[in-house]
Amino acid sequence: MSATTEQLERNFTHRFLTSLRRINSPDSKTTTTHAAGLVIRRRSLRIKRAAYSSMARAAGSHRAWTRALLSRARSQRRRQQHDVHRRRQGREMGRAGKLRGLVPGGSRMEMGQLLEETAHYVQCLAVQVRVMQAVADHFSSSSSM
Amino acid sequence: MEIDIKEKDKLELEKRNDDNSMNYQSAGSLTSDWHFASANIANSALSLVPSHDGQMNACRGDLVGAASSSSASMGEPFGPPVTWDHQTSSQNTGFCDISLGTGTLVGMTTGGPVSMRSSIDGALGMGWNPPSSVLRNSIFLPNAHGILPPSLSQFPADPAFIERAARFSCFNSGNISDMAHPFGMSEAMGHYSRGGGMMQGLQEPFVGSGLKLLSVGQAQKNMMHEGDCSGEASIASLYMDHVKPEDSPLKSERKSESLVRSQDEVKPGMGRSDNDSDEAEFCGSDQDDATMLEANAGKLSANGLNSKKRKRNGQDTEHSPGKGSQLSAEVNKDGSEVQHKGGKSPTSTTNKTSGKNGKHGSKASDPEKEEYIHVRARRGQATNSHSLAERVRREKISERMKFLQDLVPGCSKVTGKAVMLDEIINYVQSLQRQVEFLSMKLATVNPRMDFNLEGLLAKDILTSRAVPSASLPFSPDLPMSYPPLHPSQSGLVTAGFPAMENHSDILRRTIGSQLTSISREFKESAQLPGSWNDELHNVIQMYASSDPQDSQEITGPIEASNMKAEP
Repeated sequence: MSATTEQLERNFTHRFLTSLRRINSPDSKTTTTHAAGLVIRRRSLRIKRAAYSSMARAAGSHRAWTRALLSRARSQRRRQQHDVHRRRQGREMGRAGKLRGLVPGGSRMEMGQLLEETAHYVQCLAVQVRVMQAVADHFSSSSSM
Repeated sequence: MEIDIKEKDKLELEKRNDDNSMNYQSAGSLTSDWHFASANIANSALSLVPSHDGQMNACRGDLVGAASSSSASMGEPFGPPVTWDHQTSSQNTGFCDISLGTGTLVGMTTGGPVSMRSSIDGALGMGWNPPSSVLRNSIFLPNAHGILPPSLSQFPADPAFIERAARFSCFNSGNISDMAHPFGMSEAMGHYSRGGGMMQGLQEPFVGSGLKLLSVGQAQKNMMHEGDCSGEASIASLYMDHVKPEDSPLKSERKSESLVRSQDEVKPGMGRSDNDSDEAEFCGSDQDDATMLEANAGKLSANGLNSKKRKRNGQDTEHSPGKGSQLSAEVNKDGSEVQHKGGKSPTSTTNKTSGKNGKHGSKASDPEKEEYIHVRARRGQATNSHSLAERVRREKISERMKFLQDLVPGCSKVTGKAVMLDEIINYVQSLQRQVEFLSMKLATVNPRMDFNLEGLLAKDILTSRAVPSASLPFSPDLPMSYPPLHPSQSGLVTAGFPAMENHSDILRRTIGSQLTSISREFKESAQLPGSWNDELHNVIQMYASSDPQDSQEITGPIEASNMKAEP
């Protein structure tokens, strides 16, 4: 598993850094016309979206949550705000419902599949956080140096 | 005399068993279906007596009555029983017959009418197919030699009948291996006479038996003074199990419910451990005690299904081996879990029955069991596949939960699905919050640097591996403390006072609030590593000139600036 995790980490890091560069280099938004805070906010949103997309692509499309994440990203990009939050499992109350809301595509899965996807999602999230932390540390340390 | 009769009946029963495949069945049925038979007997006895007083012996009448009670046609059963009389040599007194009949009924009930039929056919070469209930009763009759005891008239009205039957079953449970144990029978018979009021309860052959079983069990408890109470309980539970499959064709769902109900009722009353252990014994070593009920239920349905299948194919053995793997995946003694959701209960039924028989000490009972498990195929099948699928699904979910337990830190000691789910939810939420915070941090930090992708990649990889102190402390710490990040980010952004604040202030606020919350989290977790502190301080120093010694100090000036902007 560690080999897979390392491979996933490398894959994600590469994609994420590429996206970061794409986001930061143009910097078309960093104009004084916009509020600085908004610029940061917008950039952080884009970085977050890029992180999730990079992770979804790195993890592979054989996972239901990655497919759901990428389709959500695609639809959001096209300004389609269709809410697939409760498509199949009709608004399950309680913990299972909460979990469905957290895991992308969770509303369409049964409990067994939901748990399996959650496990994989948690693993990928941990990798994502780790890499992002390392990148942030690197940037902050290099900037502070 | 009663005792003698019982013995004779037993012997006859045994003989019959030996002679026919159904011998085993009856023997097995006796032990396993004792409860059942007793219930049936009670019912039949009640019905028998009135209708067939003149036709046959008291015993027989009871038997027939029992059969007739369940079935409308009394005449039929009587025909064969007469033949049976010939076959059965012994003298069945009413008592004995009843006991035997009970056993037979038990066996018959388990096997279902079809089984009884087959057994009867096998034994008597008769081809008539009386109704299930009748079958049961009919089987009972052959065993009972058709000798109606003079006290037969008592049976229908003898509530003790059921009790005796139950006791008999209990007794048998004690000697499962010797189902046809004559002494056992006699003892059971003795109980029979002692019993009281139970028979009334066992009016209904199947469902009633299940329910009545409960009453029987209760009565047993009350009345049984011997130490067979537990045995009775187990037998009662077994009975219920058997009742279930048998009843399935007739009243599958009801029976299952009643069975489960009765089981539940009996168990608490009798002592759950006993029932479970007994069931475990019956179901086989591989059977999980926890799933005993389930297995039993499944078995019951499977039995019903098997019985039906067997009936169709007329080859019990073929079915049992073929199907055993399917349904009895869980029930199977092999313990192999085969996921056959097709509800192929026949196999499972066979296995289950074999499991039950195993306790009775006769593995050869599989074919016999199949024989008498005939009838309830249809209903049992539905129940079976559902229960099987349900069990499969439950196991799958529990397996996934265990895997998640390893993934989520701090969940090793958490037991229970709900708490585990809560932990999982918290962990996922904390991870997502971390991602958001880090993206915010990157948004603030990045623009200040040029990108060197290859260098970054190499450094990052090296950083993540070689310098865990900087990055890792954040990750493990945050997950451990799940307090929500201070939602100041949105507040900062929506402040709407950009003009009033300079860029550094905004950045400071953004970072500061987030860092404050993070540091607060860390303080709460009391695990803030020094390296992280350094990192935090470095970042904070970038934007704040205040002393980064204490995160709270940092937040002071930062919050002060925040207060300026925030509405």
